[in-house]
Amino acid sequence: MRHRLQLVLLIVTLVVAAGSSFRKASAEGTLGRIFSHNTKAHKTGKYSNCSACHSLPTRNWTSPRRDKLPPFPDVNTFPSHISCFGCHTKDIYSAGGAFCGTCHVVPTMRARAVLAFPIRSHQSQFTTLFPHSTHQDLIAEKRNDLDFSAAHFIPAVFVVPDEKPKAPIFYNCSICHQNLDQTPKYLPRKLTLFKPLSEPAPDTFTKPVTAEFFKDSPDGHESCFNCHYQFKNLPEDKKGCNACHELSPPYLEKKVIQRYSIKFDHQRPGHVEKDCTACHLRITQNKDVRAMKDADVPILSCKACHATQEDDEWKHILTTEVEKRDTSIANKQPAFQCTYCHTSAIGRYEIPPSHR
Amino acid sequence: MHISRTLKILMVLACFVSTPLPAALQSAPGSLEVNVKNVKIDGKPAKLSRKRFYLIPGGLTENAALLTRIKGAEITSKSCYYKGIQASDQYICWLQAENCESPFCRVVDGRYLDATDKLAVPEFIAAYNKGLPLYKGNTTISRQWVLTNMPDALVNGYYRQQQKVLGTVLAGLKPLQSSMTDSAGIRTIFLDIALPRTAEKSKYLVSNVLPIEIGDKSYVWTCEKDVEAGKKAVLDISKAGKNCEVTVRDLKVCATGPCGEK
Repeated sequence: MRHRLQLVLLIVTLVVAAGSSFRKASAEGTLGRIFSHNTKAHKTGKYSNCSACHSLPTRNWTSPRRDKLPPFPDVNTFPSHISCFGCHTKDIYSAGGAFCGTCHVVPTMRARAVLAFPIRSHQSQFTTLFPHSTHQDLIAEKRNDLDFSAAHFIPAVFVVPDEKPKAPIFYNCSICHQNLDQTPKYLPRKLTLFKPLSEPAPDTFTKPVTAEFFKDSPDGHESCFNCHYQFKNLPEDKKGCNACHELSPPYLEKKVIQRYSIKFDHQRPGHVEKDCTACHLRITQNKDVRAMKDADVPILSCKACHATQEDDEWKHILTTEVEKRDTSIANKQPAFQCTYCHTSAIGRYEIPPSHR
Repeated sequence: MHISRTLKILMVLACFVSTPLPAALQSAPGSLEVNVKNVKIDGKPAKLSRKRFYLIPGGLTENAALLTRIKGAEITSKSCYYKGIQASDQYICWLQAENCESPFCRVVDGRYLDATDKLAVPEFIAAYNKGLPLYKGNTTISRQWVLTNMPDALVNGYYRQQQKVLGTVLAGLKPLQSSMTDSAGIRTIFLDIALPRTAEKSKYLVSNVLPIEIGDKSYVWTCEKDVEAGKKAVLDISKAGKNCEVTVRDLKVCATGPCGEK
């Protein structure tokens, strides 16, 4: 009985000691932790240069890609062992090689397969720098007829289908922003400055929300590399990863599109044939994409077509709905909810002065 | 004692001056629509699509020095820039075919890379061939990334030259905003124009600053317009009167050989 108690105590002591050792290593940022580009040792000295660890392209660039795009020279995997071993040799041989789990599927020294790169479940450690203004200066004056074709298909310049197309394909906003092929998760934006005037009402749609209501944004290097592979065609002081990537506090990228006007359909006749800058009025002067809070379509651009004196109902729908709201309030009836652009989540709130 | 009291007064004044005005005392921002759709050159409509205009505080009188610099700016036409860097006639023709200022304008498709095609452009073929070994013989990538293997002067040089001219003409003057006209050549709009302090209206200058090439001439529109707090002003630059000055200059155009396209 006494021996059994001693044995239990010994096991408990060993477990506690092992745990303590593991915690110590963890505290030093080497085990069971997500790799941080923000650690001082990872961003100073020779490591201030991204190419100290990352190669462009990685040797596996010809392998099939996770995003199903045709393979192209890219950073497709983690840096090689040599990048880590210089400082972390001790860590590799401790705690059964748990350190290896930073990049490998199995956290042991015998691990071979690496995790899918980049690890999408991890927080992003970089923000993207992109001057819309410069790119707007450089892209074409003309638009592609295909941008507003009946087929509702905007060609990704990265995948030009025909080597000898009959008509020229111009570089414009659709290089980076194309129609989605699957309806994304979407939500109405939250209004903080205004009060709701009535309870939510069931929403009606003249056309159900589909993928083509939305545009996407680049999520990788594919559209950028058309012109900037190996840091080409960039200003002298921006010939590196820092041209587009800047270290930031870790954050989770939002995968949900938030809109004020969920009923807005980019592909609807009347919208689709317009130049993007006709509504995204500030985009040609935006020098830093991070300064944009949202897609930034001022109501002024809607008013150009929807607050006119013309007879068609939709040509004056904005003023009509504002009048209906004002009348309902004047008659002490339940506040009229604006429905042409908005769902009830927005349409039941106070009307901003800008809409009048 | 006297000095101390003066200091106190100065400190109180300094606090007052540095404190921003309450929102209620500040004028609501205005906006300015610049209408370009009715512009005519030699009686024919001139489509000013995707042209950048700058918004500068003050009117023509206050910005007389800028106007002098606009009139005196040294400008090189697109064709002469590209001729000057020994671009091939085919390259210049490729740019001219769709009124492109640089190759960032449109996709280089297979017709221009096929040495047997009459439209073949030597610069594109050279860049394509340079790319092939880099991309493990992948012809699609070599074609689509052709701009990454071309000499800098051919790709970025003209834009850099334009930016240099812009810097010289502005000479340190910082425009409040800049905005481009839409591709239909109808308008551009300046939003959120903050008027000075409590002013109900204020005068602004709108100019494209960088000359726009049309035929063998260059054009700069410089117009003034009052913007009122909380309202949208409309400026039609085709109605050049005493509020608008159009600087027209002859432009040296460098001839190329016959172009096969268009």
